[in-house]
Amino acid sequence: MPRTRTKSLLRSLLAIGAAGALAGFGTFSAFSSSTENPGNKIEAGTVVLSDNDSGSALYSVTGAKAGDTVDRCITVAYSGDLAADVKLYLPDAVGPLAQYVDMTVTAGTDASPSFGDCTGFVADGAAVYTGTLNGFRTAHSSWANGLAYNPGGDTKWDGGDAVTFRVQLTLQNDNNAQGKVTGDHRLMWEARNQ
Amino acid sequence: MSLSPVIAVRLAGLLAGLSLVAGVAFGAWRVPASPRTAGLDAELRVVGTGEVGVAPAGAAVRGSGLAAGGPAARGRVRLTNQTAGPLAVAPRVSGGDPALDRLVEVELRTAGAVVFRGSLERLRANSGVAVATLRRGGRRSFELAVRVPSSAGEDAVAQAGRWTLTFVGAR
Repeated sequence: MPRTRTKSLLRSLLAIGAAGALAGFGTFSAFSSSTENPGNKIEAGTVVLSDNDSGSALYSVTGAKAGDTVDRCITVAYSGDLAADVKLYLPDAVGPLAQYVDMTVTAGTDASPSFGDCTGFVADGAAVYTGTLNGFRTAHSSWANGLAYNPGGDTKWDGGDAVTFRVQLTLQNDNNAQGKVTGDHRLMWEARNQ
Repeated sequence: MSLSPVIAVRLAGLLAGLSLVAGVAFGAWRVPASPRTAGLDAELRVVGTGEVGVAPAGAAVRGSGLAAGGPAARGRVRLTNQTAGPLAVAPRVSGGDPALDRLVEVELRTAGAVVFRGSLERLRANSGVAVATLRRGGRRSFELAVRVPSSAGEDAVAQAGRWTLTFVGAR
C-alpha cells in the first residue's frame, strides 16, 4: 500500500509539473513588442503686460502756461512666459493743442520705481521719441506703427523684464496755443508674443 | 458517487499546479512597464508686475521629487510697491497644469504670519484676494513653501509642473 501511495504522489507531482510547464510555456513563450509615446499635453503660454499706474493718469494738467513742463515716469513690466514684442502707441485722437506740446519719451530703468516719480530713473541711451504730441499720434497710433522698444538692447521681452518710460511734455511758447486742449488720451503699451 | 483517495489527490495536485501557474502569470503581467521617479518636481516662479516689483525674480522655489506628506521646498522673495500710493497685493497663479493644482500645497508667510495656506487650486480660485498692504515705496519679504499633501498619495509620482506667481493690486 505505501508503494502505491508513493506512486500516486509521484504521479500527482508529475501532473503538477507538466501542467505548470505547459501553462508557463503558454504564458512566457509569446513574442511581443510595444512602443509608446507618453506624456502628451498642450499648455498655452501667456502674454501679460502691466504698469504701475493703478489706474491714475500719468499727467493731467489744467491752466498750463507757455513753457510749463511735466516730467513723469511709468514702469511697464512683462510677466508672461512667451517671448514678446512691446510697442507704445497713442490710440486716441488728440485735440488742437497737441501740435504745441513738445514731447520726449525716454526708456530706461529705475531701481525703486514709484509711479510718476523719476527720481531714480536712469536712461538707456537717447530718447526714443522727440517731437510733438501731435507728431507722436500721427506716427504711432496703433500696433502696426507702434514705437517698439526692447529692454536693455535685447530683441524681446521675457517674463520679469521691466522698463521705465520717462515722458516729458512742454507747452510751447506760442500764442496760438491759448485756450486749446489736447483732450483725454491714452498712452498704450501692448505686448504680442513673437 | 465518491472519488477514490488517489484520484482526489491527483485532482488536488492538478488544481494546485494550475493555480501556481496562474499566479506566476498574473504576477508577470503586473510588473511595471517603466521606472518611476520619487515624486513631484515643482517650480514656482515669482515674477514682478508694474505695480509690484519682485526680488529676486525667477524661480523662487524649486522642489525635486517631492513626496506626498514629505518635507516642503522653500524660498523667499521681497515685494516692492511701485505705485504712487498704498497698495493691497494679491497673489495670482498662472501657467502650470491645472490638473496638478490639487497636488501642490502652497504656504505664504510674511512678518511671521501665514497669510495663505492651501492648494494651488484654491490659490488660483482666490486670485484677487489681498494678503498684505504695502505703503508707497514699501517693501515686504514673503517666505514661500511648496509641498505635496499626504492626500495626494501616488498621484504626485512622476509628475512635474512649473507655475508662475505674480502679485497684483487687489481690487
